[in-house]
Amino acid sequence: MSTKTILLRRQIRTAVQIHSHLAGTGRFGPIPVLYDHEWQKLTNTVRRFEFAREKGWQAAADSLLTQIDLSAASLGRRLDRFRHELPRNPSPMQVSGPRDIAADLAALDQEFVEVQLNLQEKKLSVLTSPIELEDTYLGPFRIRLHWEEIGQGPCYEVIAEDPHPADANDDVTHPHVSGETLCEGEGSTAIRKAIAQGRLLDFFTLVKQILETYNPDSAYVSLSRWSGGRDCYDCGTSISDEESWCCSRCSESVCDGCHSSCAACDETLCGGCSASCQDCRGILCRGCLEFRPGSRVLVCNDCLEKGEESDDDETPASPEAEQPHEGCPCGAAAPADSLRLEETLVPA
Amino acid sequence: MKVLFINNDGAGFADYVEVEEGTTVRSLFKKEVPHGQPEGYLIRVNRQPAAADQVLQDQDRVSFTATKIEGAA
Repeated sequence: MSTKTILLRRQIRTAVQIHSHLAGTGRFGPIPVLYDHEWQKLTNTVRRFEFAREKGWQAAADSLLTQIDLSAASLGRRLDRFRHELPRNPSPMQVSGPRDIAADLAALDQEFVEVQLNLQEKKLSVLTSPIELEDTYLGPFRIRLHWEEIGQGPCYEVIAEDPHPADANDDVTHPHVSGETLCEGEGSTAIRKAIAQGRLLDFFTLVKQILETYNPDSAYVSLSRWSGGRDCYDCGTSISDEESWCCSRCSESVCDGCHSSCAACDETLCGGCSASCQDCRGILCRGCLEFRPGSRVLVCNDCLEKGEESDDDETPASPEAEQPHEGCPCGAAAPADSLRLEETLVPA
Repeated sequence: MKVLFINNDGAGFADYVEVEEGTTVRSLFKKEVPHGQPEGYLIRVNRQPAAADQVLQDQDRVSFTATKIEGAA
């Protein structure tokens, strides 16, 4: 018997098994949990109501009747939800026949690098070509379907054959795969439908297309952080090591758009560690800003000196300078870092 | 004539639809995915890649699968 004939027979046997499962128990998903404590609560309240009525306790009976109404409504809503969550029962017409499933299996051979059928373990797996997203090599992935698990919950896994996980998390082998589970995103419903109907070529193709697509807005680890990148401390954007600036004062990383440099000492700053001179509006680090003597106005050294010269000429340098002097009577400016909000200058 | 039409976009659709004789892959795509661009889809007839001007036959299996499907986390 030729290899081709053996393969064809295996495909047909697999197709028959898969069809038999899909048309049989595979049609049924697990039944949602039906808790009975709400029913018990309702029957208890009814019993208490009957007791109160027999005793002639009008007020208690009124109150219990309200409770019965509420409990019955709540039970009704729970039963509605239970009905809504019952597994749908696709008609036999919607499930592909063994011939179609076998044709899908044959087509998988042309679509994927490798196809493996395991009749004993009831597993069917395919191997994708190596996947590279935005210049990040992730390697090939094996998509393994356990056909007897169809309808029972998760029935397939996505395994990195040559794993290149994110530096931050070894479980994340792809921006949308964590622990061999693919987060299907917008492909979720189509995948579920393809599996339930036995459209195996569509199922594997859908999973492959998701693996070949990168959604930066919703990834376990973004590609910019794949090899040691991080999030901008100020705006949260993912940044690579090359794009990041390290704040000289707090050592947090910030992106190109959020970083600034102190106009006086040229240190790199994040948003939280930078401040502006209230006179010239220049960006400086807090260490290069000083309080104008006798006020709470933070200014740079240049403006401070200008202000002092103006004071000598009895000309106010800024509106703030016209404010009555308060605080340190010696006129020494406290360094900006030595003060926090709500703190006041205390005379020496 | 009838073809099995499978649209793997969104919620997924797979059912037999009635098409006129001489319907091409391109015209079916325009009809069923009016806002889509053919280059953004894997288009197959009977599981094989198809040309835009391929004329459909009765009982053909036609599938459209987006090339970009965004996963999540």
